[in-house]
Amino acid sequence: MTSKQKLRSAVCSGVLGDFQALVEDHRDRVYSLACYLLGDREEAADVTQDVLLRLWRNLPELDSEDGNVSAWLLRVTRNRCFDLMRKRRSRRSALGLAEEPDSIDLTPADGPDPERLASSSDLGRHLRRAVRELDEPYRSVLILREVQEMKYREISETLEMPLNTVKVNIHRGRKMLRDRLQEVMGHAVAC
Amino acid sequence: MPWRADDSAPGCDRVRDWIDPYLDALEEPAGTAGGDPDAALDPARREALEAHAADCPDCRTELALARRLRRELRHGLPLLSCPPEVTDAVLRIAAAEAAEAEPADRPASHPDTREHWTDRLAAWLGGGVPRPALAAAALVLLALAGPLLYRSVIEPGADTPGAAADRTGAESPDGASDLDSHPPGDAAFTEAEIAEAEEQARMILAYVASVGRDAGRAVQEEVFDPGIVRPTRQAVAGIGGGTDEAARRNRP
Repeated sequence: MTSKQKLRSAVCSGVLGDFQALVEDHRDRVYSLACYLLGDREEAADVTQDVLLRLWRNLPELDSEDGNVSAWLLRVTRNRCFDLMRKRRSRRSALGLAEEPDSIDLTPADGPDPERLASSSDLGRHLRRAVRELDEPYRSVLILREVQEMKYREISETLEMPLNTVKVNIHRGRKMLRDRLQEVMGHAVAC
Repeated sequence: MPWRADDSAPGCDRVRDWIDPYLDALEEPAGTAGGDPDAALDPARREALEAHAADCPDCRTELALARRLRRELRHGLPLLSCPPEVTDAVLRIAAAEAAEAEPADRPASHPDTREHWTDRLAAWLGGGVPRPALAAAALVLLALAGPLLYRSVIEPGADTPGAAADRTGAESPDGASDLDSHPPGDAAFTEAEIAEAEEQARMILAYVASVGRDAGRAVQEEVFDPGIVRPTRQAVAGIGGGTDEAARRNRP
């Protein structure tokens, strides 16, 4: 059953089980996007809970708009994260504090892979920091493309951004990351 | 200006702009299952890039860096597992909200969430009354009450003494018509009374329409079709030697 069929089923029947199926399909993508945008597991968990409850409360509206559940969820997640980041920035700026360290738990959704984590730990740490330091919209489009493995059209729909703009932003974001990593790690990164 | 296949060999800057679409096309070839139709580099550019990279060490390094970055992005930023307590909390809250929701908030289209009107009436009467009996009783009540309601709502005062005289223009025993006993332009009621009567009439008509619709459907389905009409037709067909066609038509 597709997400759209599950959505229709959840709305028509009002049965919690259908909503649960939608949650299970999308929770990791919502949580991952929030984690990589915020760099904080606790905040990402709060955002995920908030976004999934919004899905529950907006099921009929989403259905009547013939909505793409995944695109809606990721758009709401991104907006919620931006709100939090703005608040956090203004709070830290008011207190004169530096940026917080990266605290993302790297347990993948399909189970831990210690070999993979060990081999990429150094570059991965620099990479996550470089991604977090990217400006918007480059950060969002890159996470959706590389982490969520979304197609260009899906990203365009999710972020409500023209397709060509998505392509250009992803291209520029990758170039910025390459330049940033070369500065930090030199030519070792190309090996 | 876009590069064309018959232009001279592209320079480093142009080739580096093609690296991402080149890798996209390699990873997700358009036209394959799961391929991205928007991730494409035309064959002429792909060949030009490969030819340039073969001779240019800087662009080769750039291409290798781009490949490594993609790999590391996917390994270094994996899809993360949402903590189970988040899902548990969401489902617990959703279940509580679903339980608290008023019946009116439930989708009307769901057949199981809407109680049959005869069940509601039977519950109101204290239970024990079969649904077909209720449906038939409602029909009889409507048949009896309908004309009265119509007359009291549409023709207020129709059953009051002197109403017949009003309709015929005849005089009352004291020699004057009822209309004559009220000031001109303000017949029998004040404006407030008329407004109240109109409001009550609207409510009654809406109620009658609602009950009538449900009752009519229920009586048709539960009383007449299975219980009265078909057996009667069959009995008549049997007594009167009805045709085989009529008997077939009325077979349950």
